[in-house]
Amino acid sequence: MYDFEKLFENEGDLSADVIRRELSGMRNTEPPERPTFIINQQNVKDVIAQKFSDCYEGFGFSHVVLTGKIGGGKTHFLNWIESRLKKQGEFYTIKFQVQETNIVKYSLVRMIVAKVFQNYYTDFSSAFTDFTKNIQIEKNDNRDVIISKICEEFDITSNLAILFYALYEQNDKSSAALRIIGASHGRTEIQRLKIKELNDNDYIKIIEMFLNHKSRSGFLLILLDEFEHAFSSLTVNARNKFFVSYKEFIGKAIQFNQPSVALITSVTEQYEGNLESAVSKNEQALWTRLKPQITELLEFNPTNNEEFMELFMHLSTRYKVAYKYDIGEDYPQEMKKYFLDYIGGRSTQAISYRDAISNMIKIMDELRMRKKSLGDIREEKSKEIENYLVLKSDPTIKTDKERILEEVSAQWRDAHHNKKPGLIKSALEKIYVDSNYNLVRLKDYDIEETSALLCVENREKIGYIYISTAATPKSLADKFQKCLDVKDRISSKINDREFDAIFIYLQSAETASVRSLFRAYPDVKTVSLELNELYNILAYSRANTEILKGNIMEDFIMNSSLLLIDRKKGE
Amino acid sequence: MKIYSLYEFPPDLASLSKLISIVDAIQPLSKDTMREIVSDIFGKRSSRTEILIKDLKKIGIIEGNDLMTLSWESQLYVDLRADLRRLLVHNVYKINELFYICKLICDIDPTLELSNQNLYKLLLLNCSLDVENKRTVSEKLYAIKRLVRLCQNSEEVNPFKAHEVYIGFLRNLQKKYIEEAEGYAKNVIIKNLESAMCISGYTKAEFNRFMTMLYTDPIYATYTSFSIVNKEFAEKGYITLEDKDFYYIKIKNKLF
Repeated sequence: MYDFEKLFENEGDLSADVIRRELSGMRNTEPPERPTFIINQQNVKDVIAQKFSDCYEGFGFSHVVLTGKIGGGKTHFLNWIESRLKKQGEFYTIKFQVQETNIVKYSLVRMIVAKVFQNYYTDFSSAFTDFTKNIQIEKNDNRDVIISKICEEFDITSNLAILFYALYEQNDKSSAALRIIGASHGRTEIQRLKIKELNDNDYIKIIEMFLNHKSRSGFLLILLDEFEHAFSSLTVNARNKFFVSYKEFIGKAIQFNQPSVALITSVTEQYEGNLESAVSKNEQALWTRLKPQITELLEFNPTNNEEFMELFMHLSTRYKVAYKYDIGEDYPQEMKKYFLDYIGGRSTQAISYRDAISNMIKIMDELRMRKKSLGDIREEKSKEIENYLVLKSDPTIKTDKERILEEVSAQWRDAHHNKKPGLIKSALEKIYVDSNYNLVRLKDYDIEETSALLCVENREKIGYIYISTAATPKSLADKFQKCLDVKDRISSKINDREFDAIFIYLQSAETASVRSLFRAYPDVKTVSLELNELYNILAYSRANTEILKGNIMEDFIMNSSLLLIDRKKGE
Repeated sequence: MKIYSLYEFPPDLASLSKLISIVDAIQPLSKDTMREIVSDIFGKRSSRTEILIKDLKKIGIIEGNDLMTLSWESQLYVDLRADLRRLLVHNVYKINELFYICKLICDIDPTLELSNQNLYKLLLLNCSLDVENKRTVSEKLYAIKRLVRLCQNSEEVNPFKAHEVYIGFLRNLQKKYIEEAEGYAKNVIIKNLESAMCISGYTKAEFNRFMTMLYTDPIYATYTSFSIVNKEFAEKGYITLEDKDFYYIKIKNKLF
């Protein structure tokens, strides 16, 4: 008992020779004669397996019309089924194309008989010899009576009965009769037997009788490839003959005593519309019989990961066996990029399996030639990216201090000039608070708080600080003047405490004339800030840990004036 | 309705495309590596980097939590080296509120010169938005404006409207296809569809333009297959898309 569930199981035992031949066929877009894998198409596999199983059980004649795009795998399927069932040895399989029926005047049934006769001569001849041997014949009857009795008993024409009788007699006409029964005869045989040419019904009867007396337990499988040639290659007359014989065959086959026959017809979908119009125009009855049997092969979807993966895995495994070449099974994504590029890279619509396979093989061949695997390509790419990341990730190696200094320098550069004194003020406030100075509210001295003014105190004295961020000497001089004004106002309010007035400015704006102006007012301590000092002050306010603060202050010694320490005393 | 909460978006296609190609080459990647890459390319402070990653996920550019990869759509676009603008519009179309706002912004301010606050005022006038905190709105609009700018090009000031028209065409096409084929995955003669679509108001030129868009659409084309037949069988004539002749179209699954 053959297990049809296993009919479409992919070949597990792969030999290098078989694979090389298979790949070579695929490379040249030829369907391999003995395919070792079929991907996807579960529906078609299920339909065929079920119909075969029914036919094998004797439930009835099985008929499948397999449609698909050009290169969609129809012949691949037929070759698969043929090679599998042939190997099994229990079945009779015959395969032919529509155009080949020219040798039998475009009759499907004669072609079937002729093929069985040629492929399985021994079984065919013994089936009919055995059958005729067992015909009950009265020795005393004359020839005509015997023939008419055979006609009656088997419900056949007299022409056919004459042939059976000739076989029964085992005389010199027997082999000619067998050749006519096997539809492999010429005019000579017909003349010899003195009969008329058998018609299609006779041959259908012959098929039925063969099925009744065949020696193998399996069914007769007929594989008819490229049915569309009936429209493109045959004349109208020939086409009509072919269609009529097709229709008659399936009409009778369903009524066979022993319906152990299966027919798979493949037709290219591009003619699908024409199939309907051409067949139904001439043979409406045939079309109504074909239509329900149509089973469609699906196309390959390059963007479907599962489908892509299946094809990729089958081919890469075969490359390993055939050429001992490892394409890199772990990198299907890389293959996909190549693949989409190869097939045009513009659209993601479905394509035929033939195109899919031949393109993937081309890519694999190219890589094999370059002695590269997909893994190598992937690695090259990741290396590039890694190098890029290492180079670019330098900032992560920077110390926090460097990072903060970079940030504050950017902040300073981008800040609006009106906001700049405020930045310095808030940074200084933080330093003072951390150093245990108190912030003094200017309001207490009736002075408006601005971002340029800061007032702090320690135990000994009060310090009033004016922050200038002027970029030009003129504006620096103006600011200094303002500083003097405010100082006068504050000093008038403070009587009982020591008081320092400090003017902070950017060193870049300093000139000789400004310095001489400063010298004219020795009671105002001037502190010039270089850019790096400024950045350190700003960075301090951003530091969130004591260690970081310490690190920042290491490179920056706070000017003694700012600490409200008199130089003399300090020294 | 509130304005869709998008707070960060890449400033230009070059940087977005750079990010996608890096992720493509080393995926799947950990969230830390993703942070590193994003902060490297876009130079944001860490909290902003985090938001940018989140927003790229929201838009469907990347996916995953601990291990991140490109989304199916982005992978397709990067593999096909297709125009990322189309991917962005396609992904935005899937988020109703975002799509609605983007489309409206293009109508109100095609050159995106309005301040976020003024744009918000006009958006309020034009649609039924819930009144939101101005600062939050400003932030959202900042990111959405970036997204809109990325999607626009010289020919399509309002790519969102154009996409909507295209989707409308596809919906119609699907309807006519079903009428013709009585189901999916059947071959239908494209010229027959053309006639049916012309009756419902499309010109032949429009039909051809939209079919070309479908043929080259990385996402929707995955549901289709175009095929040709020999000349003697092409009674109805071919349709030419991207210099190739086609006779049949097959829509394999429901598009919408």
